[in-house]
Amino acid sequence: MFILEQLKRVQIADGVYFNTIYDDRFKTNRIAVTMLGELSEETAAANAVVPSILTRSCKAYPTYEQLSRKLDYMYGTTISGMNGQMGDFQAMTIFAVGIDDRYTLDGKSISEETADLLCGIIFEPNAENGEFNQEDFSQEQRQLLDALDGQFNDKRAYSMKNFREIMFKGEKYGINKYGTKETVRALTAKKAFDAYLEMLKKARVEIMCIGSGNTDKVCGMFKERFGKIERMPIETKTLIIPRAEEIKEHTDKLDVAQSKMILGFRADCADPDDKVPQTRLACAILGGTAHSKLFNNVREKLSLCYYCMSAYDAVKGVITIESGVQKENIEKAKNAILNEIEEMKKGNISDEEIESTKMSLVNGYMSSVDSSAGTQLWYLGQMLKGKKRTPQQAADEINAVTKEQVIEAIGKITLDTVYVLTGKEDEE
Amino acid sequence: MNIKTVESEIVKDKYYVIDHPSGLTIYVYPKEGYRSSYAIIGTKYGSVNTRFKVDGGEEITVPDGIAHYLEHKLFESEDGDAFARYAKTGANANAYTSFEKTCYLFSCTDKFEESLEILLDFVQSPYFTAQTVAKEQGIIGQEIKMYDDSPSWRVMFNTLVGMYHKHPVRIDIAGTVESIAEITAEKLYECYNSFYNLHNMALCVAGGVTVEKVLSVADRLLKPCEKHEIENIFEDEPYEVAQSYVEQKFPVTIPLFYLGFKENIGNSAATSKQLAYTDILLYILASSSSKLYNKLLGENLINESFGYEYAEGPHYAAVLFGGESRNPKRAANIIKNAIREMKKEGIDREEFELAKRAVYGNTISEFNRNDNIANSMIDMHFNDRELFEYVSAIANAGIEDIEQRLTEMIDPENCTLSVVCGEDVPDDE
Repeated sequence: MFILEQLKRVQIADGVYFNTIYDDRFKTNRIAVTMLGELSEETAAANAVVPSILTRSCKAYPTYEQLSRKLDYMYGTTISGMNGQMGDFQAMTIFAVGIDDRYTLDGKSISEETADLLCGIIFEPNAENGEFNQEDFSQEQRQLLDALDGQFNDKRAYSMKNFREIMFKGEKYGINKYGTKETVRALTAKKAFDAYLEMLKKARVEIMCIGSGNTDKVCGMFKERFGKIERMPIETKTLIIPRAEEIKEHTDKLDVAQSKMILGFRADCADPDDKVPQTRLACAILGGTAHSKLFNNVREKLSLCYYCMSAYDAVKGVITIESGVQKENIEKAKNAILNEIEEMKKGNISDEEIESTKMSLVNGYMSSVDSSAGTQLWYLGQMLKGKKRTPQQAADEINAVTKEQVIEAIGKITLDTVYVLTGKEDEE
Repeated sequence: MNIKTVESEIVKDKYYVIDHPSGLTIYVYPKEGYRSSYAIIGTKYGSVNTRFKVDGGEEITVPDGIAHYLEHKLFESEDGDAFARYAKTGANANAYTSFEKTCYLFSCTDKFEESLEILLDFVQSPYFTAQTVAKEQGIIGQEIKMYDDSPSWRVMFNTLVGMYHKHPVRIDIAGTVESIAEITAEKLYECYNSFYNLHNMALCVAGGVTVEKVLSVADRLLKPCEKHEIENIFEDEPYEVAQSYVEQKFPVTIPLFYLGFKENIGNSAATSKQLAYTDILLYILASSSSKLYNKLLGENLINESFGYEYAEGPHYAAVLFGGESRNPKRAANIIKNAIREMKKEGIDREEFELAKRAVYGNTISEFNRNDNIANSMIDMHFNDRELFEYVSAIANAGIEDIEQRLTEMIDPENCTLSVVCGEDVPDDE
């Protein structure tokens, strides 16, 4: 058993880990099961539709209405599925959140029932003859197609999707985790079910329990269920490209009032590199806070962008800078952003900027564990990395970074892709 | 100084309400074991307050979008902006303007007193000059454009435009590029001096804090001020909606819709109990376990983007349903029919019991988070409601309360359908 402050961790099957974080500050209990599987063109669509199918019904409650009513009865307990991405892998999470037994109106316990229902959702889905229930499947297939169309409605999400396809062409990381309209249309209830069985067999699984309920029984339930599956877990290693060879530039035209520009950089630093905190701090000084260089100089002083911010994905070793710009200012904004990076490389970073950014990052780490969802995400992230840290340990690492290390980190980043989504007309 | 303790056996928490001598009402909700704290100060002044009288004086009319503009400018003082000051404490700060209030907030894990000092100082220190006001035009102009590009924002706003003849809730919170061009430093001061009076404001803090900590800063920073009587002027608004259908063409692949029912509320906001009953009522009507939701889903008329809310502010209230739909007119008719049926048939006892449990559980879960707590407290304060009374009204609700509430609201014949679509949407035969 591995223990990290209040976290207890046990392996319950090959590649399956059960983590308990006891915390009686919360009025809810949360159980989240994250399955990390291959992200591929073939299975992305199936894995995207599966979480919604699973959480629509199960053997015991075979229609959406029946399951919803059961959850209402359990004081609005939520059982929900998410299709996420971590590095080159698809992360399917099925979770349940409900109020703790201390708060039920009739004094009856619901926590064990919740765990049991979640197990039912995951291990006894509404499927027969090797395929999901046809109605559940069709409903969720349609909704996934709508979600893909919805990506187009939100222009910021739409430009990010296009950007990713260009920068990560040929890399698993760039595969749309929702699949494409074509691959979603080609799905069947059987293909989706087969993909799910594959996931149960091959995924690396992390189960996180956060709250004050007794989790021994819950752990037993999952151990028994996973024990019946012949497990062959995959390796979860993300491909890192340290440096960009040449700059890819791409512009899309659409009827929009405000243009979007995204710059993508290879950071030459990714998990589990010890230098990750240095790159993280460098990226935050550049554009990660409301007092960052991009915010203060490009947005406020030059009034070039409505938003302009940078983000670092340490799993992949990539920095992205997103901005909303007027069409005639695109070139100016790009030069201004690149200029801020050059200034940092020259050492033009004040002690104040370093200190304030450290405080802001530390503030984020420390407050993340004041919510049960934040706690779940923090520890899930740690379990999938080589090194496991508490928020305090992560804060200490950030605080230890020196100015020289920041300069070194920013000096290593290389521009890979410039993506612009702009209006068709020449007017504003 | 009067410090009142408000306790709830149901929530198993307590908070304190302080009538500070300066005129400010302060709420402190300690959350034991929390590392972080969240503080929000707000004034009962939002985008709809464009016509008013102070202490019975002359009527004043100000440009649309000025409350939002003022929010942006208040962050600045003579010696730099508030973000730069927060940078020294590590706090995460923000601000927003809605129809009925303007709020400034921060969250932090360290140096709470220093951050609270910054918050209380800058909201009491306006600094507007012709030059700093002019500089903001560009940034806010960009912000307005961003909203113009957002189909989900447009579809919601067009609903309000369709529902209201005269009420300023039909005007964009940020105003227009034209209206903000009329904003001057003098006008900002006029609004500031009228509405940023501590008697018209509240401070709510939740998290790892104590009353003593909060007061140690508040006592030092708050400048006592004289109370002003503010009379907000709203034109009489007809009962009926202005337009029953509004459509805007937009590059979207799936049409978006909003269906808004105009409520007849007069001058007063819903009470804690009315709000609790409304939440249960709407859950019975349109939650994912409702007959209506499952019918809409079964006919492929909605997807998971579907939602509903009760929106209210000074002199207006509305029940809104919305989401993506390939056939919004048909979806709207089904919603209207479900309301007619409910009004005729009454409420099913089992559905009521389930909805009550679900709304109760969801409400309890909200108390996990500092931001939810403090945001709810400030909202309750400005509407003369009380947070724990709301929770207890849910826990003790009877079916007759919900049936009574149903007779008071949602007139299925008085609504606006707003649609944002790429191509014409089909008619519902």
